[in-house]
Amino acid sequence: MSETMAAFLVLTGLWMVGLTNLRTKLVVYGVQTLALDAAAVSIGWQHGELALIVVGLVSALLKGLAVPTYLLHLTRHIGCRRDEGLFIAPPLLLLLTVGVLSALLLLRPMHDALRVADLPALALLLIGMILMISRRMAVSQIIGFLVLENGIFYYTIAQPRSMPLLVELGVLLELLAVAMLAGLLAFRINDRFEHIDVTALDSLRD
Amino acid sequence: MTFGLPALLVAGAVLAWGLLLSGGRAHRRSALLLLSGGCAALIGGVLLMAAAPSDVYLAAPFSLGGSPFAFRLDPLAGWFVAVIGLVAAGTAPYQPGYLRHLTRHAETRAYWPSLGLLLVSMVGVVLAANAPTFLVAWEVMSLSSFALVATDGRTPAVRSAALVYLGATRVGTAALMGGFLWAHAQSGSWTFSDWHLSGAAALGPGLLVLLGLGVKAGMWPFHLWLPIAHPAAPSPVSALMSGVMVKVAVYALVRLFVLPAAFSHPALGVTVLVLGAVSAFWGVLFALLQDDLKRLLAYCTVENVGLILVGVGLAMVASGLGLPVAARLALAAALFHVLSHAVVKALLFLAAGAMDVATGTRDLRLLSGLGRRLPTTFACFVAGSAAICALPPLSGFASEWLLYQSALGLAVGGSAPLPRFAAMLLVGWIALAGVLALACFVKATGIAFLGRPRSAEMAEAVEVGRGMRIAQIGLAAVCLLLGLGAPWVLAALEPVVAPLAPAAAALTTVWTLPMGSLAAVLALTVAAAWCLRRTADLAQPSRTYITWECGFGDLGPRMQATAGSFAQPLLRLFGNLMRYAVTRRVEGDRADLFPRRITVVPSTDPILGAHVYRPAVQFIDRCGRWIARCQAGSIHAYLTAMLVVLLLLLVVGRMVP
Repeated sequence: MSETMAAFLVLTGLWMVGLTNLRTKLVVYGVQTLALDAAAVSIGWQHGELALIVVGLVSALLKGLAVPTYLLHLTRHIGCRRDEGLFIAPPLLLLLTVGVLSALLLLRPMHDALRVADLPALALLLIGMILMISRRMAVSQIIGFLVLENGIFYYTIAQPRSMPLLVELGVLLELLAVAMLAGLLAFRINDRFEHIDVTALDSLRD
Repeated sequence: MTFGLPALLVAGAVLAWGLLLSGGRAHRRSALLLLSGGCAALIGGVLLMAAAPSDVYLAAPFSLGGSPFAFRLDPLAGWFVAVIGLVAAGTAPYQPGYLRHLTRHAETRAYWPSLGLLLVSMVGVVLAANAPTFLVAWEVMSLSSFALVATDGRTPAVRSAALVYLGATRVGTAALMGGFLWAHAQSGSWTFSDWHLSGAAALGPGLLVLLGLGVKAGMWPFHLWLPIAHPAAPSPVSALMSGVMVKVAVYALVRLFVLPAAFSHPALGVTVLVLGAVSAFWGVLFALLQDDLKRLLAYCTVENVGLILVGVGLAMVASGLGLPVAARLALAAALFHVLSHAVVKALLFLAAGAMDVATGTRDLRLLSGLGRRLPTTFACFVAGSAAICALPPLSGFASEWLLYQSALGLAVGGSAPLPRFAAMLLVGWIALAGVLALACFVKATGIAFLGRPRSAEMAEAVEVGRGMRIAQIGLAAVCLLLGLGAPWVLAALEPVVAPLAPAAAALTTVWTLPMGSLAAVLALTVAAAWCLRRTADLAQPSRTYITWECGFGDLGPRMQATAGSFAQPLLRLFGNLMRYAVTRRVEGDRADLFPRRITVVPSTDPILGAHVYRPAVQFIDRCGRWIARCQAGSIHAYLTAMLVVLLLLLVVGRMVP
């Protein structure tokens, strides 16, 4: 995996943290996922691993195209375009995120459990979580979750020994199901409450 | 790997009990499966005791995170498999009759599957060769027994009892898991036979494992779940739990601390010994106090587990002092008492269950004059009481006699003065517990069976069905056989305890009582007494009359001694330990001369429950409420918590090399 690719992935992730337009964010997510899948395919091609190529192609189809398209359709249908964020304004959050990631880099070389090549994966994972935390709209939570999963996928393809094809495909399918389900839930929530602001969903506790 | 006849028999037993999972409501068929499995386990266990140890591993796909499902079939495991099989088979005929009674007010569909799981998992625990296998079986055992305790879940008292039991098992398993992890960290292996920790390294994991096993065994001060869970469970389940399940913890204690000692530290042996001694006294004292027959029996189990632990502790201490022969005798005594108490306690719980079925109550304040109405149960309960009070020639006598022998052996044969003095004191202490046990069972038997019925239910009680009687008679017969055949039982125990002192003389040489002559004397005495009675009857016809009447005319059944009044003198003696107090109130215009109404209310305040456990539980409850307030229901708060934990883990993971 080239360093350019890793930098591209992390930078697109950071870009998403700074974005307030939901639809742009979805497009950026799609581009990021497609880039990641291209990387997976190229690595598979280099090492002659059929499994990685298949996983990359299927992932591009499902995560890179199907999920963003579906979510774009959803946002258009619900009519929600912007997500201004919670507590912290996105530009400030962007700076904070960069700070956290740099701190992570400073903590670096300790032992072999986490290699240098895995750091971008970790960064994507944290960016995914931060995306989930910092936004109000349910669609943003879905995007955050998907970015988090991108981090995990990056981690698996950066490993010298990749996961078995079957497991990887299973994860992909599951992810598709989760995204669809979450989208459907957001749709229903909008139906019922006429908004998809999850901060207003705290009255369900006992 | 040799897969001989004993292993096949044990596998057959596990299969038969596994088939109980499809038990449902087919009580007779299930009882038959239980019986056949029990017999197979009994024979398999006995054969295992004589066979060479062998290891069995399940093939690759069945693994537990890096270590296989491993089982070790050796004499010690064989002994406990035999005990499990014996009690399972002994309770089998009892089950259908009792379940028919139980079905009237409880849902019994889950009964047989849970029972099957319990038995299979107990065998699993006993055979486990490494910690993960052990823990899996241990957990299945805890959960299936929880399901059994909760059988009558419609009653609120049973529900809360089951929850208390579940809580106790959680604490126990947590401690056990911690101890095993610690031992693994120090030894680098999960296999029990690779653990040879000694000195300071053994103390931490050893104490944790001891705590975990103590909770299950009902060791003081972790015994509180026993008197709560046992009365709530159906009687055959109490018989199995009290007779066998608590012994499984004793098994683990022997396996990990004695044969061979995975954890050896002088403090561990002393701890087991002291806690065992306290359990023995504390258990029997509180047994004396109880009015619920099954609670009484549960406390009595605490006492007997205490005695067993005294034996195990003596073995540990004697090994540490370099007295292998004394250690071997003490361990043999403890193991013999495991068998003896398993049979006797099963018998007593079955009898208590039979009384419950016949009269609808287990309350000693209500039970009275049942001797004539339930003759078989009466006879069996008397036999069980005599055995548990260690009266010859029953099984309890044999095992407790060995225990006295081993304590005396340490007192006489030891070298250092302090252990000798302590062993001397221990003899007196065990005797004290024995005397209190005698008082306790005189109370239970006398109040429930002798005298006159206090109510119509008692007067009209009908003896239970044939199966339930057969089970009691069978277990009583086993009690007698174990007592009379003590030398043979000792010979069978020989290979189990041999690793402690391979070169010592045979165990049977310790048994110096001339059994043949004693049995002959006993038989002659009984025969003579019977003949005298006959001749007296012939000479002057006997007259049946009201007991304790003294010429005053009918005194009425309410004037008989009650359970509370019988126990009162002894309880006053030890009253400080449980804050025993009797409040007496007399009402009337001139109360001193013409009392209209006299009320006497005894009250107790169990120190451990009221002043240790309740505050602890309340504290945990308060903490729980406090944490629950953080459950704001905000998705962002949850996600933030996850992120913070993730970052913390990353930082900690990188700080710690």
